[in-house]
Amino acid sequence: MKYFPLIWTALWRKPVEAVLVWLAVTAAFTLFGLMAGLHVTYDHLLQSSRMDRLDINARFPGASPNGLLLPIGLQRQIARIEGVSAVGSYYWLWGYYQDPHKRARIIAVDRAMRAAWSELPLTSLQWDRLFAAPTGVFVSRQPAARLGLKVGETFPLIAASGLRADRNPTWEFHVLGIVPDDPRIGPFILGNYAYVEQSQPLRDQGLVWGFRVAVAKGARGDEVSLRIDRHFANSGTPTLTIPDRTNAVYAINSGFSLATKIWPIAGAGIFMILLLTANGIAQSVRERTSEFAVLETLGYPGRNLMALVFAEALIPCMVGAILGTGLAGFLTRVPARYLPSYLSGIPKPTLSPQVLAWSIGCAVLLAAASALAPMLRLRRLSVTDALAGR
Amino acid sequence: MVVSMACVIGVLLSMLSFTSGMLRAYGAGGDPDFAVVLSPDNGTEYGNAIPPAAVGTILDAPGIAAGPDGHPLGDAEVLLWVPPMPSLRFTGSPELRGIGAAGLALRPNLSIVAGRMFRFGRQELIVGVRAARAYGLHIGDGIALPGGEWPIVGMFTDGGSILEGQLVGDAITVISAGHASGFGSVLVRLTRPDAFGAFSRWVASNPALKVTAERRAHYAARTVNLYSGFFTELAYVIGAIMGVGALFATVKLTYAAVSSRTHEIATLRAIGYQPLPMAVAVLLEAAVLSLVAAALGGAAAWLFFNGRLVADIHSVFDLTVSPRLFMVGIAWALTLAVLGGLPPAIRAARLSVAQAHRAT
Repeated sequence: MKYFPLIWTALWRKPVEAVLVWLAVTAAFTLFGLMAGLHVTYDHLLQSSRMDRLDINARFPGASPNGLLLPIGLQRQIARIEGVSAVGSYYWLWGYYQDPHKRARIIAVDRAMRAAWSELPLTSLQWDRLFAAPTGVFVSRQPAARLGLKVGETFPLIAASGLRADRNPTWEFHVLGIVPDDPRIGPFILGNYAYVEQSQPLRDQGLVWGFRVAVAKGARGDEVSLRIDRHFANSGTPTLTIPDRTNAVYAINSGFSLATKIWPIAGAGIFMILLLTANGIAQSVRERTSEFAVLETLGYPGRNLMALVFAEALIPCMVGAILGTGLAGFLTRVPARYLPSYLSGIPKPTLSPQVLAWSIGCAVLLAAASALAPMLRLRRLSVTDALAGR
Repeated sequence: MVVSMACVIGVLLSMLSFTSGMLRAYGAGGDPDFAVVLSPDNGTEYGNAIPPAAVGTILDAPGIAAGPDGHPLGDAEVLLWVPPMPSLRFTGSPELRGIGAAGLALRPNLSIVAGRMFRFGRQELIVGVRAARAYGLHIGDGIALPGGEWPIVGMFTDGGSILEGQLVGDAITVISAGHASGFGSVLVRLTRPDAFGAFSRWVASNPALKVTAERRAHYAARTVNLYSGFFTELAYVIGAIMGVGALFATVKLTYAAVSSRTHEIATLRAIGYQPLPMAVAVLLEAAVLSLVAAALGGAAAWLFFNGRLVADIHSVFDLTVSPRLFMVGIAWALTLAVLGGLPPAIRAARLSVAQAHRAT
């Protein structure tokens, strides 16, 4: 710690430039923090997605007279397939509430979904209430806030006109309760399939968008998926069964996905300031060669001088990393309405202690890389040359 | 400074090449003569909402150009997903577009490069070169569709449009094999671009039809915006954060440059140069370096990303680092240079001659 005054004066030799470097480092680490946070979020999403939950849809929507829909009669057959512990059916109803821009989607489920989709954040009592009231819905917090729904209110959904037998485009629902959000499931509005089916014309009844399967303990999700698809392969309604985790992996990594771009972008940001800090340290050491020569004459070992240079590189990087990560954390808390419209769709970066650890580690590496060349130069410092000013 | 700015511009242009490539493939800003007729419930070319009976009525609308045989240049088409097939490069499913004979007349750039054209009325398909590359399809492969396996009999190009990422077959055969109730869209060629107004009004107000008309270029732009909007916004946000870092780096390095040349500036002031040319010189230097950075960053983005095949959920296209994108890069670089060079330029201007000489 006796070296601290030396380091301090070295840092503040040119105060304006020191502050500017530190600000640039902070900006780069803000980007790094956001990207690393995104990585952690995607990781959590993948870890928490389940292999024992399957989603069944029509395999050839262009081929069937029902298009994307499947007959509900398949449910009983699926339940008898080995490895299936529960199977529920769901029907999606799209429409808007009050204003055509306030779009909503109701997921109408049947009673068996209670077991098949048990990870929904509904208590047993809430499931009971849902099935007791045909027009009841449970809304998760995010759509409730977006649509302005409150418990006990009527929720008339205006959908496409041909769906109901009475040709009325309005579907009456009642909000039974507001349930917490679950990031793994996303926003949802849960309704009753029985109500939907009763209101449909006769020829449209008995068709659902898909089924959800809970795989029995000990069975493998991918095997059960294949078994289900093989069962229906030669029928008039071939199915496509995909485990939740497979869906999540595909969604994250497909196309021009953001997940694959995370580390290149973070790396580009760090590379950008690597050259800045390296340049700064190299110049500072070059200008102070005679100072170092004096110190060496006084008896400071060469190793300590190298450590001095490293510390001088490390402190702005470290402070910048911590502040940048903090700023990134602050940015993730910005409410959605201040964000540009499409960005609120991507998952929120999680600024966890792990991200801070990565930032600090990266700062150490950055400092080491920047200070490497000057440190090596110092080791080969010839005291006489330096004092003579050569 | 050049490198830090080049990094920002490289990252920005690489990410924007996604949207740029999509825009180019969809032909946004293309031929103003073309219009698409869609179902208003849907707003896209998917679905089967336009019944065959309505197509004849639509083709009677005013403003549609007539082909060499006197028939109106309009084509009823259908667009659907094909189930996923195992592929070496990309997972996902290509799209299948069913067109009619008029569809070929409306697409003069479509040319077969291998194999032959499919025959109308048969269950045959041709595959675009991009889809073939992305999904590993060859002539002779069978695509599992209703009615059995439809063989691919040819490969085509279409001037780089989005069609090259799709399979093409006969619309009527596709619809009847799938027992679907109608077409998804009708593509028409208008006599003149401003015939669109009359055409659109006629089609929208006809009581026998439930359709809307839209210029194809506008539909393309809207579709691209829908699919790539978030990526563009993300690109700008990331570019902005990196840009802030580059800004501080620029200021710092320009300060360092000015302070290392204090003697030189003092001498010039002593000779008689006014402060303003000093400041302008600093700014100009920053601007020139930033142009070099823009060129470097743009070249890096072009080298690594231009022409790369991307299979997004709906589209297969090449990433494009277009000239317009280079302009964007140059604009960003110059902005950074001016903003970043301003404080040091002001300091260079306010340097008093004696002070400068004393400092050296």
